[in-house]
Amino acid sequence: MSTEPLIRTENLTKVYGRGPTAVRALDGVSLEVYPGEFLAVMGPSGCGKSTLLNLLGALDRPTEGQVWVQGEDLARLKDVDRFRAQTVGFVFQLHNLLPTLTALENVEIPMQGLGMGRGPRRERARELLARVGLADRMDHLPSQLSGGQRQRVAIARALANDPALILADEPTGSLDSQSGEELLALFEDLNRAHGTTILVVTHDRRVAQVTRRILRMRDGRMVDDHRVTDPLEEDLRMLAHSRLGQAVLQGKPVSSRVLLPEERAVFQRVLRRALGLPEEGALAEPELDEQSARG
Amino acid sequence: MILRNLRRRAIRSLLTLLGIGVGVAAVISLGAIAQGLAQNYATVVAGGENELLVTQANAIDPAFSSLDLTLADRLRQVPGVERVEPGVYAWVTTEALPFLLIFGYEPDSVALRHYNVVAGRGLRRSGEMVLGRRAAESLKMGVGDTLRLYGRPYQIVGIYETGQALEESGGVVVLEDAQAIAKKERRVSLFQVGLRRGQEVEPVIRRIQALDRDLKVSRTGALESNQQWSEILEGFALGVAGIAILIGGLGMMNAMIMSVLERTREIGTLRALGWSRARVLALILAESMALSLGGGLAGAVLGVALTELAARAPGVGAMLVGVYTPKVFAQGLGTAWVLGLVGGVYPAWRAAGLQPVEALRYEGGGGDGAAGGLSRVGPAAFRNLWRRRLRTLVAATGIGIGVATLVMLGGLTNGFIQQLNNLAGSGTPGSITVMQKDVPDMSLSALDERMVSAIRAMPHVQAVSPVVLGFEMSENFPLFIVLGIDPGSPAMRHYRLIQGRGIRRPNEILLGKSAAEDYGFQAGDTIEVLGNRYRVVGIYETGVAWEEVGGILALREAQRLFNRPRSVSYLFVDVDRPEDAEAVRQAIRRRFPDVSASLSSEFAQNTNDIQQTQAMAGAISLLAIIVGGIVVTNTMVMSIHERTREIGTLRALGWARGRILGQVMEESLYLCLLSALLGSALGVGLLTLATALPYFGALLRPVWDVFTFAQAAGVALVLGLLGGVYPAWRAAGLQPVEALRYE
Ligand SMILES: Nc1ncnc2c1ncn2[C@@H]1O[C@H](COP(=O)(O)OP(=O)(O)O)[C@@H](O)[C@H]1O
Ligand SMILES: [Mg+2]
Repeated sequence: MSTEPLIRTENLTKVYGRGPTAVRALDGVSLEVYPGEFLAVMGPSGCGKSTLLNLLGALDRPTEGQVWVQGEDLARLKDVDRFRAQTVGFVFQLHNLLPTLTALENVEIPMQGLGMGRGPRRERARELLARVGLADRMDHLPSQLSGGQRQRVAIARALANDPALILADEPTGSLDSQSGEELLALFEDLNRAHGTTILVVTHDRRVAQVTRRILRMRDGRMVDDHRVTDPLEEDLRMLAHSRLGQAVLQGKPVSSRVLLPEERAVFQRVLRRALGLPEEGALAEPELDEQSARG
Repeated sequence: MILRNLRRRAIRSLLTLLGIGVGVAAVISLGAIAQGLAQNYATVVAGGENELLVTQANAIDPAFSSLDLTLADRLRQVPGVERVEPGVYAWVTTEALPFLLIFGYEPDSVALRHYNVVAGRGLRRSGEMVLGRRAAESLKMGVGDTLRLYGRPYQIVGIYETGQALEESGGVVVLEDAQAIAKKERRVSLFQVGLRRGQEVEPVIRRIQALDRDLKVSRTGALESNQQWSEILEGFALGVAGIAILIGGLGMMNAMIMSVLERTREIGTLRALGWSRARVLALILAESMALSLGGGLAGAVLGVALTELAARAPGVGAMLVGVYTPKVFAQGLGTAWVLGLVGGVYPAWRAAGLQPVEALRYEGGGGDGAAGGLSRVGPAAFRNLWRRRLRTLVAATGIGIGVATLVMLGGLTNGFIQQLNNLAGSGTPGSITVMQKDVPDMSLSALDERMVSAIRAMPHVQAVSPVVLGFEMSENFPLFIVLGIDPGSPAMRHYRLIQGRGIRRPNEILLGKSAAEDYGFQAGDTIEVLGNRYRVVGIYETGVAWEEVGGILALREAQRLFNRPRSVSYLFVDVDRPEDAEAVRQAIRRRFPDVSASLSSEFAQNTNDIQQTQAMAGAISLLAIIVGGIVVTNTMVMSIHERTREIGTLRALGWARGRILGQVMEESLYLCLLSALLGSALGVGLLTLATALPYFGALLRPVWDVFTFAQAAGVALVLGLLGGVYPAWRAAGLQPVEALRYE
């Protein structure tokens, strides 16, 4: 791995609103991502994943803290539009294709942002659509494409200006499992064959099979960041971060209809080992009540 | 809930409100001004109690009335009459005041007491003038100054007030001076007849009427002819306001339709939760009624403000003093109410008719826009308009109506100009048209007949043809233009006979082709014009519309009929060679300072009629730009509003603000271009249809030129720019994150 990180954040914090209704969507996140990495960001809904992605992609400004991408401080960016068009490629949960434009024209949008000429633009858009397997759907309107095909167009669009980084916010969220898997395979291929750095927000546990590093967030904080080695371990980690797992680990009461006391002890031991925690001693999570209330 | 829904779309509701408001304001303001004109005018000719007014029958306005001065003696002999005072009314045009009303009375007459002198002193002799307060303000003159009319100076000896705006924007001179100004030698406009104390009015009216069929007797304050006059004014005002309403109404309908469409899902939820169809209908109707009522009230305030502003305008302000009757406000608010109903019914009906399941599945937002046709043609900005075809069409129709009005006015004005330039006598290049200077209306022009022989004697002059112009507007003849021409004069050559023969006797008339067709006359028939019977001896055509909607009498007979002996309306001067025309024109101007002599080819542009039409076209374009601008803004705000997410996407993908700005402006310009096309087609179509109308249709001979359409396109362009600026600025200012989160 190269020594220079592609992304570096320090104490990244985002607060929405003011006063009593203020929401701390992101709370002091520090993170380093290296070129060529394939990361998954996981966590319950509302934990700040989209907020993080928006800050990394310069769609929004942090309340506190800093982001550097390719060594450049995003707060001092001279041309934000150029950065968005060239350095990052966004893939959204709802494809966000422009309904009036054909697949080909949608892919051209970021190139128009850079003022590229019509001929080369067309050329490149064709090439990209072919790469995502849509060579025969170039002149279709989004409404004439299936959900999976739309997301592929969105990926081709994200790749338009050959960005160093792809940010995908729940790209499989609106897809059936078959299309979801195909999409993940496409990401994996991009990462392997072209070395594109990819950061995917997802709820999908199958991601664990394709990504190399998983970040877990809760209430705006980064609560877990580890490299994937063993699929079984990933499953156990998943369990440990589930609501039930958290309750067991923190010694919160669990109905005996779900777990008998003796099962509970075994379960706790297994989860502790999976997370690399010491065998004994209770975990104290301050926001525990708040979290269960959110349930 | 209703108010909350409206508040949710605050900007759009505001724009809709404004759109309706401007329409309603136009109705109220124009209505009040029309009322004011009519009432003002009625009181201008009002005297004290126990008084009668005698004017010429069939004159639509006292300034058109002409009576022999000798009639005074005959009136004095009528039993019950105590006092008879002649009066002269004349309109003159000055630079600062397009309409200056000149009154002429004997210095010692009772009628003069009506003019309450507030500065200086009253009128004593010829060459003096008492000026109305408003006229003095507009002309920036006071006691001691001198006002020149037709080259003659009048010393201002006093300023008067009467409380009537129109009167106060005029001036009073002694009778003989007014006669000179109006070119009414030995003739007057009216007689004010004072009755003996205790005398019953009706018998006197009957007795006077018996003197002469050509007289009209009215009680003061209720001059019947004004009925017609105020109807014309009101019709015109409502017409202009109607345009504003149509544009505003369509804009409003659009806003309502869109607000319902984008809430389709919500409506589905309400229906699924057990709201009945009627209840949904009521909710949406109530919303649109609230909007239109608000717009109506705003419009009322705006309308009053506009009217007050108009009354303060220098010069014409005096003509534009509004009179607010309950009827005026009822019209304005009624309009708003109808707009609300019409604008609300369709979307309400549509919303209530949706199946809950369908409504719940509705995608909302920008929709998916896949629908054949042009969905893949043209630039993105154009496709966005196609995506919302209904809305685009409604908006374009609204603006198109404004554009159509402009196109129609342009075509008509061009047509009139061309026709006036084709007048008799101007068949030869370089002929000259002579008429009285500074008269606000062509038919008010009066020239002394002696001028004919004087001009005929000038060098290079080949022939001079005097013409008398008059008209009848009555139930029988909505518009019948009478020309008096010497049967032997060269001007007569212009009228090609297609049936019968020329005029030989005073009781013979030639009819224009259109008049003959419209009223069904042939050579040999008898026709009654202004109470006189004539035998139709021939039918002519000229190709000039207004010459064909009436008839030709012998010059002397026309002078007798309109009671203007030794006076004519125009002269057509034919010169030896076209090169001489300019020199002859100069010579005429030098010799007769109070006439205007134009080369016939330039004549039309110099007439006040055409200048007024052009001013009106200007006013209507302004109205169209204001109301249309609001409609465009509204439409574009809706358009970018529902595409908030898309705009966010574009920004996230690296499109700069400027590019988004450009695209919205482009879309707005396309919308206006479409409106311009639609409006031009509509204008040409409507006017072509109008030419098929009986009586008046023949007068409308539109002439289309590039300039007219360029002007319409220019207005559309301005609309596109004005209407696009705010939405474009708003779209460009959207924060990508906020826009992406937008539901
Ligand atoms: N623009 C905003 N204004 C106010 N609150 C926001 C805004 N965006 C996000 N939030 C809040 O911030 C928190 C994190 O949101 P988000 O990053 O979208 O979560 P995730 O993507 O993990 O589901 C949520 O509680 C959300 O309600
Ligand atoms: Mg999210």
